[in-house]
Amino acid sequence: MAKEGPLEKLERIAEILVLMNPEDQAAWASLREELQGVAEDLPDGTDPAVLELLGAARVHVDGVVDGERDFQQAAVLLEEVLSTVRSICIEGKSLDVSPLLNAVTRANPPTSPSMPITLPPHIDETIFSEFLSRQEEVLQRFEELVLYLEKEADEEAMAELKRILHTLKGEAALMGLEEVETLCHETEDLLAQQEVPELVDSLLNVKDWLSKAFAWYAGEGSSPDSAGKVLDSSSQLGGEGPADAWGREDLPHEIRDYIRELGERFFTFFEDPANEEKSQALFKSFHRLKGTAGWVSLPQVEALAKEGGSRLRKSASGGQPLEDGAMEKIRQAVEQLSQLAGVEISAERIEAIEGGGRGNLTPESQDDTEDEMVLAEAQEEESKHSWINVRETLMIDAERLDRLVDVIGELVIKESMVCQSPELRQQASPALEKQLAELDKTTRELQEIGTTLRMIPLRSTFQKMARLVREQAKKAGKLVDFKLEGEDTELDKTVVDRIGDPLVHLLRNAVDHGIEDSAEERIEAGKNEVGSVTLRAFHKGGNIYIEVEDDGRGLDKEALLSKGKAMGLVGDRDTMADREIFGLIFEPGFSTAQRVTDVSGRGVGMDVVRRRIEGLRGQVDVRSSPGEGSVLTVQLPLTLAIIDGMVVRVGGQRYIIPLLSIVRSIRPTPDQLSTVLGRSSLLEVHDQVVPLLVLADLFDVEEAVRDPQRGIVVLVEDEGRQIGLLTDGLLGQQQIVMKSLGDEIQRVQGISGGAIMPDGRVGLIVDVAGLVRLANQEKLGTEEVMIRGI
Amino acid sequence: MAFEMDVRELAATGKYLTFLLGDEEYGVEVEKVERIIGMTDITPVPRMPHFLRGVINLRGRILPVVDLRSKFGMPPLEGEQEQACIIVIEVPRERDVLLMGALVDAVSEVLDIPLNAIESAATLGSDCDTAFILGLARVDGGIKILLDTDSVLTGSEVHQVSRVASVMEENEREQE
Repeated sequence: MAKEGPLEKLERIAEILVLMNPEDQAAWASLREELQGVAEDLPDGTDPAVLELLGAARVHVDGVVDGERDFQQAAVLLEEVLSTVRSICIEGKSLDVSPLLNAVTRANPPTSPSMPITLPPHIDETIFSEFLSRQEEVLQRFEELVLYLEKEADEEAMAELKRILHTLKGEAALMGLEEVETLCHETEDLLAQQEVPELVDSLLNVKDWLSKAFAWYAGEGSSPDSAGKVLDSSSQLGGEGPADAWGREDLPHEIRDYIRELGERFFTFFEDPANEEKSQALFKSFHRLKGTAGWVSLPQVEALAKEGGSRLRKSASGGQPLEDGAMEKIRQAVEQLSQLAGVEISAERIEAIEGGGRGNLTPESQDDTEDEMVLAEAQEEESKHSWINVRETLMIDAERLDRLVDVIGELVIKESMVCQSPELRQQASPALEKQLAELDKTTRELQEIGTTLRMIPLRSTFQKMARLVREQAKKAGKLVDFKLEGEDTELDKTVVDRIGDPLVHLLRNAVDHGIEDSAEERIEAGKNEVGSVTLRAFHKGGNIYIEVEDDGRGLDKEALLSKGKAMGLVGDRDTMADREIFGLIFEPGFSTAQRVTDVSGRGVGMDVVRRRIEGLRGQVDVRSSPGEGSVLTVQLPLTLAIIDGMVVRVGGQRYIIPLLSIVRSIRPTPDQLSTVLGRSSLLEVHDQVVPLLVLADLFDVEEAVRDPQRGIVVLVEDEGRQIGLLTDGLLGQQQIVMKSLGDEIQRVQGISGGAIMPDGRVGLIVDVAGLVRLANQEKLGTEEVMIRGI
Repeated sequence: MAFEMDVRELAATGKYLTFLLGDEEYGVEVEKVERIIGMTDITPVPRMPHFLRGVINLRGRILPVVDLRSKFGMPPLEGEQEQACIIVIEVPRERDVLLMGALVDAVSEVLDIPLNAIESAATLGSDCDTAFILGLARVDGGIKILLDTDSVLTGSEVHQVSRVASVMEENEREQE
């Protein structure tokens, strides 16, 4: 093996940088090692500035490893350093590195403001950590909503966004996290003044800061910068919103403002209860508060405001004096409201007034209990309201989960063995039959739950991509509209966890290289100036597909071909299908050459992507048309897919055909059958001639039906093409859990996997797509021997 | 040299599960044995090498079963098969552990085999394929062939091990 040169090292570092999770400190540590290696490998006589740059980069990375520097900023800087070093050392350009050097040495001076993690006495650590563990999901949702609202004006989403902020603010206050509370409050203010699309950057900053802060509270990562700075830049950017925002936005913070105002008016009124003007002002305050609170569904506030208002009504409308005890009621309402809103109500002030002997306050009245009930009810309702969207989750050790799933599987099998045992059948009474049926039902239910335990939706992974594409587009100075489809598609957790990195890579490429460099270029090509990148997931034929589609310039076949020839991957006279030509980009070392990527429209390290996906037992494919864009398709197996299957008999063996691909089953008549060259059989169904495969030949099963007229033909379809499969007969439908046959016996022609049958044995699942392809090859006469069953 | 390394590995455990194939006795490290199950229905998988008997269900997992007789080029077991067992063996891989079944005639016992009772298979000479043999152990007058399960179970070729023991005895007689 040739020794790795500095170029390869640089490429590898770039690769690590692309694929790593920037929050993973260990990855940064290995990155530092690699950097050291490059510096040592550079030939003598290398520009000392380059060495200095690499050294500075290493120190910078040190800072990240120690948690002193911002990793995102570091990643960006490091990328620049790498490309500069490459330009100088490999391409021999002379560049002035001093600005970059300055940036690297100076960047991100560590600041760690003190964060309050001394918990208030009423909060114990369990509550706090429970609070923290919930936040990741909450913030994820927050980001999702922000990105969604950037494109769509949706009141419901808006309300949810506000609710999240509001809940978080309340909880933070409870936990004594002042900075968080303040930040949430400021964000609420901001939202009241401006529309979400103008605020996306600020809101994402807020989310990032909160993530970092919560991580820090949880003892991970580094302390975030002071929260005060988070919104500074953005609020200046956005400018001041309309001063009088009320009525336009239905915000909790406005309620707060109303309550504050109400408090003020109450004091003036309290000092001079006979003044009709003041009474009216206070009444208006109550009224407005009531209306607004009702609007944003804060029943507690609404009830209190109503209470206060109704006590005041007579005095306000007719100048009549307050009824006995009314003042006390109003005061209580105001006090409770102030408490709810966290608005300071100065007790001294009231006392001072009271001390002055003005108050006509009566002590505790009987109505108190009723009030409290109203309050309690209202509180209950409100708490229901604000918590309704918090889904409870539980962290479970994956291994335990797997064991549970396996044990459930065993239970299901044993259950069917018992239920179907002849001994039991003989003694069966109607009562026993019924009980067995119920046992069966419950077991099935358990099985269903069991099989979905490990499945999680792609949503959170996809959501992260939305953020990534947005930032990548911004960095590249391109306008990109990013669409997500099928994010509710569920996949085994292991696969979801590992698919992120390759997707990041594919999406970056789509944005960087797929989409044209400038809007002009797009307009010239007759396209919308805004590029479109779509990430979609869907089920098809027992597989999950994830596609990354862009409407950019597409791959340049000629460039790929000539590069392939230059690299010796393609012979001079080879004729290649488009798919094969595009497939070249996945060859190791193919796309790593900078010059080609610019032409071909795809970036670095596609072979890494392919390796990763193959590691998940998947495949990656590319379709492209010049000028119209490219689609990269990742096909993944469902590790735990439940499918409906038709069990068929072939001799002494059973096979399962996925129900979805079955068109119908028929017993062929002689006039429907014909042969070609006396060998391969054809079947005519409804004026359509389809190839007929004899499963017994294909799977080498002895003593099975080989005469189509004596068996049952199952007509199956894949991608619009049909074939007939000859079986001995149908045994019945069944829901099965698809399992892999293991690495040792992967890729059996015609078999896509196995399933545990009710009797505990393994049944093999027929790979319809594979057989259809096979049968069509036969039509071309290429692989007849294979089809006839070796 | 390679043998010495094996011996050092063996020293760590010293316990072997022995089983029968025809009239020869074999041993595998107990440490590698996950469990032993009675003969069960094996689903044949089409187009596999003949020694791969098929797949079975082990607690919801599907695992392949290697017929050791077939793998070692012996004729199939005739007549009574009541004692036939599947030994489930762990085969460590880069990232995880693979479980595979090995079909044997009968399981005999667990033996402590001291290091000094194990000989290198190299003494068998070129008549035998010894790549998958850890060593030969002489216990209670009999000879046990200790298998390197990793290579026996995952290799795709058929090993001609039949009559290992008799070759060994012949060698001894010659020496005498």
